[in-house]
Amino acid sequence: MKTVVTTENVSKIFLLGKTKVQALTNINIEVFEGEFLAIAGPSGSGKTTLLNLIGCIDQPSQGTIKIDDDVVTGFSSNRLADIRLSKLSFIFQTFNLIPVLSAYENVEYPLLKKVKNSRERADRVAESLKNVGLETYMKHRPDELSGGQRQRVAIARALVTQPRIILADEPTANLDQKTGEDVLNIMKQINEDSHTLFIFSTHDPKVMQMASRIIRITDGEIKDYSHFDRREKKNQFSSEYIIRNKGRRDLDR
Amino acid sequence: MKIPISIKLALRNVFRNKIRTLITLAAIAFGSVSIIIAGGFFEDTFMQMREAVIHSHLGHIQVYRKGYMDHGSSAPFDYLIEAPDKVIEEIKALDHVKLITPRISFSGMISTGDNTVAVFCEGVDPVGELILNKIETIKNAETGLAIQEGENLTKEDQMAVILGRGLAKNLGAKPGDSLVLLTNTVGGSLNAFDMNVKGIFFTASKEFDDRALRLPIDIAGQLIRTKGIQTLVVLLDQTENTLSVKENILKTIQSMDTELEIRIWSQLADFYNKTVELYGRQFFILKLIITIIVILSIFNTINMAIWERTREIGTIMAMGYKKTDIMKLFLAEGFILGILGGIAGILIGTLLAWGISFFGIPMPPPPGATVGWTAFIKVVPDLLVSSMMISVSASLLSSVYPAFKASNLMITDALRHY
Repeated sequence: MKTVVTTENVSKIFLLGKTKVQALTNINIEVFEGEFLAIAGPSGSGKTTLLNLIGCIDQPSQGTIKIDDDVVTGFSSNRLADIRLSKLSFIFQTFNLIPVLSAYENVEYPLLKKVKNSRERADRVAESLKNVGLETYMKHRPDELSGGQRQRVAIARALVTQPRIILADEPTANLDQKTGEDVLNIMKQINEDSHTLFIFSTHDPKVMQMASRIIRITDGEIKDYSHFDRREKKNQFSSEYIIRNKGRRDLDR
Repeated sequence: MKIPISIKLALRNVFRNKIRTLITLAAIAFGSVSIIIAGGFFEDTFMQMREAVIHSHLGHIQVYRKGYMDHGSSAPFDYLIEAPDKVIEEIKALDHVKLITPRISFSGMISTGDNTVAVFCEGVDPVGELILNKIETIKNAETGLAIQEGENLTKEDQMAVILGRGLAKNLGAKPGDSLVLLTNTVGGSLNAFDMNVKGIFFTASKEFDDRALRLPIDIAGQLIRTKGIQTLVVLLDQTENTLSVKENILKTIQSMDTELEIRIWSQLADFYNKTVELYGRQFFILKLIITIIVILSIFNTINMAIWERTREIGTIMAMGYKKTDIMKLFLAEGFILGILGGIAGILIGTLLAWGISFFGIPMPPPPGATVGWTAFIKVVPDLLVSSMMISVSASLLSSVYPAFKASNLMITDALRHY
């Protein structure tokens, strides 16, 4: 199984006024191709910070991060923007669609920098929206869509650039139970169909159940880290396994 | 044509908050209207002043014997055009030339018996001057040289003079009075004529009215004993044609035996030039002030509009868009605001200018002049261009700082923004 993301002794310190806040301490993880990885932990534990670092929108105070064996730390903002453009996509808790653009245009937006051929762009946008089941809502503006639909547009937007990694920070936290599950199912489906690596943060046990692996963080340190084992994948992450282990896991928390 | 999504985005963002955008546009348009009205007022004043100067006295182009301009004031009779007929004929045949009329000027003394005053005498062709004085291009203005009392000179007049208003007052002369005009002849001896005051005139130039006396050119010739003339005053159909006709006249006079030189009205109208320069500077300061006011009044709205979209900026940057892309996006919005405000300003400004001009603004006499006038707002293309440029640059300048701030946000902070 190919390693996509490696973090080596990554630490992050924030300065709040004159106080130093240690957000992450010595994080060493590996993330593999095709995973549907959950980063779990209570709020303030450093989940988002870790996602931001992997997503190249923030830089670690110490340590290095590699994506596809290339170091992505210590670069200029323009270089990081190029890396994000070619390899990364984001799904946000608050959807973050551009309110003045239609669903179609929102999905097209990140593609504008990547694909210059407008026909190819149109095809890819249409396909992406179809993947999330919104082909009939292309012309709708975000405020004409429900929360679940908005998040589906956001998924289509993340997917359309065919990124190496899709990072999702609490993607279901602003959705009700049912809608959240639907959104997650769509993500899972895409993950299975295209083997796109998903890394998402959550503190919702129901969401964790869907993950192929869970990394738990508390107070900026990894508490539970299971190496990905391909042979066990089928059993370990099957629905049956999840149901069997659900009780135990909930007790763990 | 398909509009690029970046322009679409900028346009839609501009109209995201309609009321706010309207207020911003109103501020820009207000600035633009002020510039059009103020500038149009100056334009009209300049034009009226220019036409008054041209029609009262200067004409569009003056032709002299070479050297007259440099040395003529000390030895006016050394630079006479002895046989002007051929020159007159050839210049008259040129395009756009409406009139060419001869003049001869010299200084003299006039005496009413009680008073003796030094005067600037001008021998003129009454018929030609009448045509020169007539202003046809400006509404409400009729003549560059108006008769206050008595009558103007005519072709039949012999021993008649008209006096400038200031001169007549100094002298205590009125129409019907007789006076003695004493001067040097071309040969250097003295000569004097008894003349009758036929009328009292005034022009746009108080300075001229205080010193000038006009008499028929034939009598002037007899008085100073010459058949030559000094100046040929050329009047054109349009002031705008001055430069092209000047070139043609230059070509024409180069082929002649007499060495001639020419001056155009703008070289002669010293007072006009200084006024234009003075008011031009004032208008520049005014434009600067308006620009600053527009910038100050829209800066905050643009700043707020961008600040509200902080999270959106974070999202766009997370997609892989660069700082420069964000800058461009917001500057494009500023540009669009400037263009829209500028267009609104031009429309409103032109309409308002038209409305004001319909009634006119009564004005007191300008410094150095004797009569008030009615001002209008003259909208010229240059003015519209500069009002548009000010709208666009003010709104671009107002966008620079917010755009710079937006593009330099930390993405993670921007994404956390609510």
